[in-house]
Order: sequence, then C-alpha cells, then structure tokens
Amino acid sequence: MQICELPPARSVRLLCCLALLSMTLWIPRAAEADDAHWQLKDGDRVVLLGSTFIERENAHGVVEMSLRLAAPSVDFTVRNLGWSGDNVLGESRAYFGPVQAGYAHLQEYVGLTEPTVLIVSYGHNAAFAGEAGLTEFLGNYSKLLKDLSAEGRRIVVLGPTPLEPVVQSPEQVDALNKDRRLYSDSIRTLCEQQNCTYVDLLEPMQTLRNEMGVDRLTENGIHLNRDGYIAVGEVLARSLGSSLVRDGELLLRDSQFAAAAQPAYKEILWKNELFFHRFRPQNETYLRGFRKHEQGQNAKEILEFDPLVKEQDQAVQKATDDLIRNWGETKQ
Amino acid sequence: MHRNFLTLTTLLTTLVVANPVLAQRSLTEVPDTDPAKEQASFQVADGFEVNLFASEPMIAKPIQMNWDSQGRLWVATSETYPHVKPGQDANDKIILLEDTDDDGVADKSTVFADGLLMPTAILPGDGGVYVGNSTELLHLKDTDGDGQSDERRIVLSGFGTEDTHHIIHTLKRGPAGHIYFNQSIYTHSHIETPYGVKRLLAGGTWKFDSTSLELDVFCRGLVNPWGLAFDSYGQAFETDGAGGEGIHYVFPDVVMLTAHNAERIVRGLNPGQPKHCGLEILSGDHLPEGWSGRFVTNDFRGNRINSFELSESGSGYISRQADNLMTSNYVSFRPVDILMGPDGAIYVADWYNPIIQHGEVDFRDERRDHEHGRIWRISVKDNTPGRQLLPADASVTELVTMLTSDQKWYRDMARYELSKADRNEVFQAIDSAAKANQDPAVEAQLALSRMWLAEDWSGSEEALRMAELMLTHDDYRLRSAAVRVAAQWNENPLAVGIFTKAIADPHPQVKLEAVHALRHQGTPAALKLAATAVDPANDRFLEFSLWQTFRSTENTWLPLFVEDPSFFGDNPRTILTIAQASRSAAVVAPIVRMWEQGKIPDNMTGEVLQLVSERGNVGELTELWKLALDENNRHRAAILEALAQTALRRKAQPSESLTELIPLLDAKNSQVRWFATRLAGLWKIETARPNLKAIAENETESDARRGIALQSLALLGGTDSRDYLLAVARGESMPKLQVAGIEALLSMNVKLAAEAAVAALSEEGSAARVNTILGPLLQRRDGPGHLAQALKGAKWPAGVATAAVRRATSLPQQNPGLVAAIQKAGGIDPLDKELSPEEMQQLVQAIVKNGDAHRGEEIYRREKLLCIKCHAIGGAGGKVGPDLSSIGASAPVDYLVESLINPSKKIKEGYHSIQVVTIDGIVLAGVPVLENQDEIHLRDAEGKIHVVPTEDIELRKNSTVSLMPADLVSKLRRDELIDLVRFLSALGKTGELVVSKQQMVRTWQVINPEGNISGINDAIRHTGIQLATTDDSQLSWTTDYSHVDGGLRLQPLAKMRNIDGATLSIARFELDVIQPGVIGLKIENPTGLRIWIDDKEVDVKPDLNPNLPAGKHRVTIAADPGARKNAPIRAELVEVPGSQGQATLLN
Repeated sequence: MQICELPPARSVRLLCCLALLSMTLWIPRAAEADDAHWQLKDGDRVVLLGSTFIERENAHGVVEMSLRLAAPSVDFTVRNLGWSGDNVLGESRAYFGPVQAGYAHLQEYVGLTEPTVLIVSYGHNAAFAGEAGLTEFLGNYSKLLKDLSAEGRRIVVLGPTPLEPVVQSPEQVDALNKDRRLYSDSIRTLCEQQNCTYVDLLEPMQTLRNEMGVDRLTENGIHLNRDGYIAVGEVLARSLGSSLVRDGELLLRDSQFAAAAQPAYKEILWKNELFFHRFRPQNETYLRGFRKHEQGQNAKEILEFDPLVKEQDQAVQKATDDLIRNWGETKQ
Repeated sequence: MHRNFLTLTTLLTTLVVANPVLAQRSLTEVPDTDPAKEQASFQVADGFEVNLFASEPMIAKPIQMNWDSQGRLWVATSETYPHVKPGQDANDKIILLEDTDDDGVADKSTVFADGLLMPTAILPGDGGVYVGNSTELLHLKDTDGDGQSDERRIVLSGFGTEDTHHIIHTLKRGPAGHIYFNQSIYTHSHIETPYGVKRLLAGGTWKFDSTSLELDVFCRGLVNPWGLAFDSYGQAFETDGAGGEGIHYVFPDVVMLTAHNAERIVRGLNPGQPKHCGLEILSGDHLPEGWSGRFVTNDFRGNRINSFELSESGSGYISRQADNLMTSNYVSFRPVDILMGPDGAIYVADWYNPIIQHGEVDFRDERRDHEHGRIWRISVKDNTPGRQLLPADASVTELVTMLTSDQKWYRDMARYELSKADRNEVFQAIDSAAKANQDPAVEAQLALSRMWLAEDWSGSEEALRMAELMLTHDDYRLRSAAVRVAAQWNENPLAVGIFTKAIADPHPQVKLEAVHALRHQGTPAALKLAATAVDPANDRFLEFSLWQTFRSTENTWLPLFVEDPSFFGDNPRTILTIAQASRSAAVVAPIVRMWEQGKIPDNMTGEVLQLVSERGNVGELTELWKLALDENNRHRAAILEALAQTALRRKAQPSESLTELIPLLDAKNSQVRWFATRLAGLWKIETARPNLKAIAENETESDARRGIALQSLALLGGTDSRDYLLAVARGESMPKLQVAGIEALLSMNVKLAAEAAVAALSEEGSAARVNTILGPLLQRRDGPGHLAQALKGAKWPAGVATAAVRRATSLPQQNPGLVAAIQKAGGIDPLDKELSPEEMQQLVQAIVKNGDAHRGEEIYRREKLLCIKCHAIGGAGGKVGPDLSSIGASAPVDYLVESLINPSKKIKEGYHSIQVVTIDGIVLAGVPVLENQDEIHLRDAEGKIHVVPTEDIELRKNSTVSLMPADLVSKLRRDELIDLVRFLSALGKTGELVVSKQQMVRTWQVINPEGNISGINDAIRHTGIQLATTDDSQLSWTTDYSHVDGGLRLQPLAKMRNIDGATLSIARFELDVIQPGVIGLKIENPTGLRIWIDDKEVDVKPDLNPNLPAGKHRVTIAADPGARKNAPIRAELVEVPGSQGQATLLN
C-alpha cells in the first residue's frame, strides 16, 4: 500500500491520517466524542506549565508524543515551561527578586509562548503541607488560573501524581497520598468553578500501574520514570477521548514502536533543548540581569533561539507524521 | 607637564597604522600552548617534582576531578563554557584517565559520557558517577561494561544557572558517605525531594544522602566556594574563588560571607588572601617534612598553589600561610582543582586559559581557550610506590587495614568500599583490628570509621552506641565527631544523653557541636542546656552558633522567659546574651526589671540601655527618661545617649516631662550637656530655642557642640531657624561654623543650602572643604539638582571644581547635568573617557615595554590618587574595593586600563553597589556587606558602614556605577599611567610584587605627618619617648601601609627631633594573642631601632620572641633613619618551635 510519497503538505497529511484512521490503528476502541473532555485543534500551541513533573517531561518527550498519537491528524506545537520546585506563586522563577518577581516571570513567559492550550499542573509540592496549607494554596491557584485565562485559551489542569514507597515506608506514603487526594479533589472543584478542564492523575495512574504490570511509576517515590510519563500520556489521551492501548499493551512501551519512534523523539528532545535555552538561558545575571552592562551585548543570542525552535517545530511535526504513517504501514 | 594622557594618546595613535581588532589587542600576551614550555615555568617546593599526567588531546578544559576506588581519575570537562551558542549541541564530556603501568603518566583516556552541558562537578559512586550538569545532578552508569555511560538518571534538578561559573560544583563524599556539593552567589536553587521542596538562594553547601534521598543545606554563604575538604576527624573546610579569606572553617549551619538574608556572618581564617580554588589536605608519611597535614589550594589568578597550616584554636582553628607548593609565571596555568592520588602524588587540574574572568571579559572573546587542559602530577622526589593494592580489589580485612593508612586517600576509599560490604563482617573485622592494635592514632581512626559506617547504614542504635562510647575519648576531635553523628537522631534518648554530656565538655569544639544538635532538637529543655554554654570567653565560632540558636528558636523560649525571667537561670551575662539574640521587644520589660532590681551589674548597663533604645516601647522609654531626671543617677549620660539613638533611629520618644530637658543643657557633666543639646532638637523642645542659640553663639563652647546646637535648631524648624541658619551658612555670622551651618540648613531647605554651598566654595583654597560641604548635600535625593541650579553663573576655582567632579561622578546616579555645571563653573574641560581600540593597543604596548613597576608603586601610594584608601594589597589598605594582591596575574592589561578609566564598565562580583533612598530623602550608595529582612549594611566609598533599617527604605536599586571615582587617573601624565598599570599588572606575578606568605606587618599607625608636628615633637621630648606607646591625646596618629615587599619606608614618616639625642620616626602595630606563650616576632635588620612591647622597652634583636598573655598587645618601634640609612622596617610574625603561643596581626 502506498500512501504519501509527497512531503506532508497539509492536505496530503490529512489524507494519510484518514487512511490511517481507516486502518483503525489510531482509533481508540471507545472513541465516542462524549469521552473527550477537551480537544486539540490545528494550529494549537500547547504550553505545559508546572514544577519538576513538567520540567522533566523535557528529557522524555513522552507526554508530547502521547498527545501527538492521540490527535494524529492535528498540527500543533508544544512548549515546556516547567520549573523544578515551582508553586502557584512562581517561586522558583524569581531569580534574584522577591517571590512576586517569579509570578511576573511566569506570566511573561506564558504570554511569550502564546498558548491556545495551557496544561497546568501544580499541587505536587503544596500537598506536603497537608490540610493546613490547602486554603492558601487554593486561593493562590484560583488567582493563577484567573490570571492565566485569556480569550481563546483552553486551560487543562492536571492534578498531582501519586507518591510511591521507595525511600519512605508504605504508611508514610499512604498518609501523604491521602493529602494528595484532598488536594486533587479540591483542585477539581476549583476547576469546575473556573471552567477549566480537570484531569485527575492520582487514581488513574495507580490503576494504570496495575494494568501495566509494573512495580513503579517513579524513580524515587515522587518523580516519574518513563513508565510514569507513559501513564500520564495515556490518561491525557483518554481525556482527549482516545487511548494508546493496543492489544492490551501501551503502545509507547512496545519496543518495536519505541525503536520506530526514535527519530521523532530525537526531534522533540532537540526542540525541547533549544527552547530550554530560550526560556531559561544560562548566565541570566550577565545577559539580562544586574550585570548586563558586562555581557548584555550577548543577550541578542537568546532571541536567536526563536527561529531555531520554530524551524525545529516543523521537524517535529514531520518526524511524528512519518512515524504515524510508517508505523501504520509496518502494522499493515 | 600635566597633560591629560588621553589627549596625548589620541595624538600618538594618528601616527600608527591602526589594525588589530579589539579582542586581539593583547594576543601577544597569550603564551605558547606547548605543555613542555608551561612545565618549564613551574617552580616546585623542595622535595617535590612535577610531571605532566595528561593533556590534550586526552583531555581538554578540566574542571573537577575525583578518584574511584580502582585508582582511576574521573574528570568533568567543558569546552562549551562560558556560554552555549544558539543552535550549538553542547557536547561536554566526562573523561576517565588511567595510568595502567604506574609510571605516573596517564596512558588511557576514555570518553565515559558526552552530550553534557557544562558538567562542573563529578564524583564516582553507586555503580556509576554523579555529575553536576547545569540545572541537574545526574547519575551516569555503564550497564553493559563497554566503558561508556548508557544510563542517565536525573537525581536532583532545579539548580540555578544564572551564572555558569557559579553552578553546582565541588562534589565530595563526606565521612559518613553523604554527598556534599556547593553552589555560588548568583545561584537560586529549588529542588523537589520525596520529602518536599528544598530551596537555597545564593551560595552554600548541600548535603545529600543518595540512599534516603534526603537533601539538606549544610551551611550557607561564600561567594564562589570551589574548594571543600574534610579532615581526618570529619571537620569540613572550604575555599572561595571570589572571596579573599583563605581557608574557611565550615561547621553545620554556619553562615558566611554573602549568604542570602544573612544577619551575621562568620569570617574566614586568613583574611587578606587572594581568591582560592580547590582544596586538599595533604597526608602521608612519604611527604617531605612538614607537609603532611597541610592544606593546599590554588591561587588560580596568581598561577600558583598556596599551602596553609592550621592549628586548633578554641572551637575552631587559626591558619597560617606556609610555603607555596608550586609557582609559575605562565599566564595560562590555571590550577582549579587539587587532589592527592593513590600513589601519594598531588594531582592538579589546570583549566589552562589566559582568560579567567567570567563576566568581565566578553563570552565570545577570542582569547578564551576552549581546547586545552592539563593534569599535572606533583610527586615526592625519589618516591615510586609502584603498584598498590587498590581498595576496589581489597578484601574486607585488607580494607580495614587501609582504614589505618597514613594516607587519607586509602582511609576514605576503604571506608567507602566497606560501606558496600556485609555489616557484621565489617564490624567484626574492625573490632578485631582494634583489639590487636596499640597505637592510639590508629585506634582513633578505626573507631571513627566504625561510627561513620554505622551512620552511613542509618543504624541509629549502633551509631549512637558508638558515639556514646567515643564521648569518653581523650581526644576532643573524636568527641566532636561523636556529637555530630548523634545530631542525626536528635530525638533519640541516647542522643539526648550525649548532648547533655557534650554541652559540659571542657573542649569548646565539642560544645559547638552540642549547641548545633540542641538547636535542631529545639525543645525548651534543649535550649536551657544550650544556655549553659553562653560565656563571654567563647570564641567567635561558638558565640555565633549560640546566637544562631537563640535567634532561630525564639518562638519556643520567649513566652517561657517572659513568664519566668529566671527560665535560663540567674546569670545576668547569659540572660542578656540570649535577650540580645532575639528580635522581640518582649524581652525589654523583664530585662529592665532585672536592671532596676540591681540584678544586672553596672558593666552591662550599656547593653541594657541599648536594648531599650532599640526595642523599648513608649512606656519603657518614659520610665528610662524619668530615671535620667535624677541628677544623682550615675547612668544619666548613658540614658540620654540611648534616648537620642532611639529618637534618631526609630523616631520614638518618652511621652512625659520632655521640657524638663532644658536644665540638663547646663548640667555639670559635659556628656549630659552634649546629649541634651541633641535631644532638644530631636524631641522638638520649642522652649529650648533661646538656649540652643546661646550654645551656638558661645565661642568658648566646642565647635562640635555648637554644630549640634545648629542641627537642633534646624530640627525645631520655622522661619526663625531658617533665617538664623542662613546667616551662618552664608558666613555672615559665626564664620567658624559656616560648614556646620550649611549642613544644618540643608535639612530645612535644600535650595538655600545649595546656594550657600556654592558661595562658600567660590573662595580660593576651599578645595579641601569640598567633600565636607558637598557630601551631605549630594546625599539628598534633590541635592544634585539644586546644586546644578545654584551653580548657574557661579565661578569656582579649578581645584574646587575638580574635586567636586570627582565627588559627583561617584554618586550612585550619573548626573551629567551637574557635572557639566561644575565643569562650567570651574572652567575645566570635560573628560574624554573612551579609548579607541588603536589607542588601547598603543597604550598596552607602552605599558608592557616601558612601564616601571617600582615607580608605579609609588604612584599607587599617592594619597591624592586614593588607590590605597579603597584597595588593599595583602590585606593592607582599604576595604571598599577588591584586594589587588594578584590582580596582575589574573587581569589582562587592557582590562586594567579600562577599569581605571571607566570603573563602572567592569565591576567584580561582591563589589556591586546598590543605592537606597530612605524615607527621609537620603540617598546612600555602597556595597551591601550584610543584608537581611531587617537591615542593610552598606559600605560607602569612604569605607564607612551605614546600617539602614529596611523599613526606612523607600527605594532600593542596583547601581550600575562603580564606587570608584571615574576620573582618578585623568590627571596623571601618560608616563605615570603607564607605570601605574605596569605595577598593577605585575602584582602577584613577579618576585617582589608577590605578597609573600609570611605574616608581615603591613598595617601601621604612624605619627600623622599632617598633624601638629612641632607640638607632638615637644610633647614627646618633654614627656619622654614612652609617650608614643600610649594613647595620649597630644599625639595624632594615622594609618600607613607597608610596600608590597613588606617594608615600611622611613622617608615619608614624620621625624621627631632631639629625642634622647636622636632623630626618630615612630610606627606601631597591634597583635592579638589568641593562645598565651612565646610569640615569634622577627625584626629584619634591627639597626637603629628601639622597640616597646606594650609599655616596656625590650632588647632589640632580630628574634624578639616575647612571652605574652592573651589579648591585644601594641608594638611600638622608633627608628633612627640616619643610623639605618633609611632601611625600611620589616616586622613579621613567625612560629616558634615548641611554643604554644598563637597570635594574629590586627590589620
């Protein structure tokens, strides 16, 4: 079978996808529109915002890959604004300034990346404060979500991921996960009030862990390993009304698929790295900070990443299109 | 001919062909990259030799190195540094170097990992290698045995990268297996752990347990600490690559220089040292005599390796500089890391770069080297150990034997290997080794290792049992280590028992560890125990730790103390110390009550009053004021002083009987009169107006008190005060008080004061008054504007205008309008500050070719040039700007020229000034030396420290202007500038312009040559020369500094004639005896000298070696310049073999 000899111009790609869809490969088993809590559209700019959970996706590219597989016919770009240790105040982004400077930085970069879809995930760190910290957290989260909302922007909120007993006892982790349950539920209520899509990760990930037959979804009890990100990808796919389960297995865990996906992953990771330098340039003190009189002349280099990232977006789209097409062929 | 050198260079350069581009202008200085040529420049200490272990292409740009237990050297390298290029795929590497044939030269180099982004830290462990990689701490592993990493795990992430020479670095393994690493001043890290988020802003040391994944901040501060080493007893030490205090003693929770939000800091052990990178403690019986136990660290700017000897002192140490391990004049030799190896040699990572500045030189400057790098091996001559049994290949029994090795390398590696073995087997092997052993030193090392292994395995019971046992050891170092281990489990009853015992330990270091543990325990009972260690005799480390304890636990103890002031017992010293450590005003009432009840002795009254002044409420202030009304109260003056301070700093005052102040203006006690004069204004006692005028007009009063009266009148305000002060400011009445009048008027009406200032400075010869008159005026936010306005149409003498421009250009905010107005009034030419690349090239060549460093030093020392007032060399000189000891070795010539002409272009980290505007409209600029939520301590251009309460700050911003005035060198002739730069560029580079390691006396007090010389001479002649050893007020002293070579020149000193038949010049210095005993004081060439120690004249000989009790002592030297043929005075503190005595110089 011969599909798509031409470079994937928009119409051709659409054709390919239709062809693939007809092969049922990318069609979720229970693909009913009602299952979709949100949608990806052509031209979307998806921006991921949050703490270490989001930041480390940069090195995996699994969430992006999952979104692309779950919406194979959609042309979109992804930016990662994760920052380790961050909270709803943007505290990790403050550099030399007070916490408010971090909040301003967060707003600035959300503005710069112009998201049409903003995937936000906070509460992972806040939940350690337990019930005592909940009210303050919700107040600040509510403000953040309001400040982030914009005309034509869809906000998807991901709840905290479950902790696992790796360096702590099962009892300690159970207690901490109870707090995370409390935060999850409260964030869900908040999202209902503020018209954001909420995607719970806590139970679905624990369920998936059993279904995947793996011991752990984390490296160290808190931060996700690759399987963890694959599980998140599946939860997200389901929230889009899709699923990446094939023959009872998660496609991304399939070694053949993983091999075929290497080129696409490579492009995604390189795009992530280029954007990381744009978003969190090293030597900020000298380029744009209070010692800019010394190296400010080199700050222009930060902006030189913009065209590089943009160019790489196309490479990502092409590589994932190729993957989808070729994998479909292989399967035929 | 005093022509502006810039004009001259412009003329000259028209004659030459302009070609070289800016970045290449000093390329002639970049040395040959041949390692043999570099090696030829090395001078090693006696008994050592040096060889090349590895260089490019085996390795390039090494940053940190660490050994594994197989004796292989792991090196983190970065060619990308300092900054990734857009689109560049950073490909920095981890290199593994091996010397497979034991010939001291690496013969195998493997790229273990690549694709990294500025890996600045490396430590083998847990089956792989830990790597600091910009924002992350990675663990890289080779799972398939092909010698290359194939598994990459992010262990921790969220480290700041605001400055790539500050990112996480210096990974080291602590005694109990924890991983320690550092970050530097511009780094802000936010790290998630399974236990929650940990944040560290600015510099500090992290402590990480790679098993439990617990991450803690071990200590905070230091500008750029790239050296960290643990001694054999687990104590930690650090060096700072941007500080200047040599070795730092780093105990848990210590807060050091530039820590974020620091309220107090603990200084290093060697103030006045150049910057240091890397740190190793040498060990081994094979080392030449005296070298085992020495600390070695790299003066990377001066291309040399320094060594230091530490000796115990109280709870900490004192450190003395010893011989250099290696020196070089090779500009590209940049030793950054230093380690001993398994063969007992010392390995030095050479970053190899002519450029080392991070921010100050363009990231893309072509002179930056990205290709080269070396590892040098400094070995003991005739010491070829050959193949050794390496820890990786050793059995448990063999490893236990290694625990007792004379080389720390084997002890540390063996302990690490043992941590992976079977616990019972290990403990048994250690126990039987201990049983068979007779040597107490060996027994100590076995016991320590056993305890640390137990701690590593988190076996709290086992570790605590060991700690308890060790607490009975004779050696305090083991007892200290035991308490630190117990502090890991501070809630365990066993640990609590250990702390109770340790806090009463006779040795202060054991107490220090106990205080730390009790602070973390934090219960009322623990704090009561900690309080028992409060003692005025405590040294600075212990004192800090106690202060920190009561500062950070206030919420726990304060309610208990307020309820029961005897909560901490009845020792007034202890109670006051604890109260002072708190922030709260709630301590004031119980303290005042105790004072009134006579429970606090008189010598502590000042501290009680200080507390009330700083924190007391209106009721407490009123209570105090009422006490002062009793003329028999012996604390009357002190109370008034405290109330004046309160009114000034907090604008608070008593609420009753204020007018009863008036009679105090005429009190018998002069101090009472003085403070009453001040308070009359501060409290706005309108009825005191006539009295204040009378004081101002009374010519028999001191000028100072008359000036205060004027200020108080200004505070009373109104047109009456204004007109009165205007007349004074204009010199119409009381001309003697004109300057004071201008300053007083300033607080009422800036415009009028500016006009009066302009008029006052119009007279010839008033240049000396420029700073006193303009200083306060320009400090006001609206001052510069009013001054510029007032200058319209005015004429100033050129000398006044020059001094005024200097003042105006060092303001935090540039005021081109004001500078132009001053220049116009003085008829002086504006400055042309920019040099073209060609002019720079010309100048640089002339400096290198024709400059004379010795003439340059004399120019440097000229008072008018102000260099020495702000910069120190070897600790001698001002503290406003960076110490210049090795500036020549680190800064290219063009950088020096640029810094002199335009100081604001290149500002060193730690010397960036900030500007604050207070709610009173005062503008202050200075370098923040301490900053926290309550106050900022600013060091201004005069070296004066201003403490500004945060709540008084209306505006705070970073200043882009250097505190260094911009036109300092503009009045130099070209040849003078050339000599000056030649001197600076030679500093730290060549022989006599290298600050020697000896503890030379460099800061002196000499008779002020500008004082009343004949009066002083008469006083000494009549009273006798001993007068010079006292603080007699007839004598006026000023600070003078030795030349770089350590000698104090006699020629500039004032000569006292006809003193016991001779002409003498007098100089004196102070030393602080820390440990009583014989103190080595060496006087080079004592001909024509008379010397007093305190008030006793001593026999003059080269080795004075007095036996001195603890405390400060003054050494006075009278020199007969004729008899000495003007030979400079050189005095030096040396060690006396066999003496317990320890002293440091007070500079």
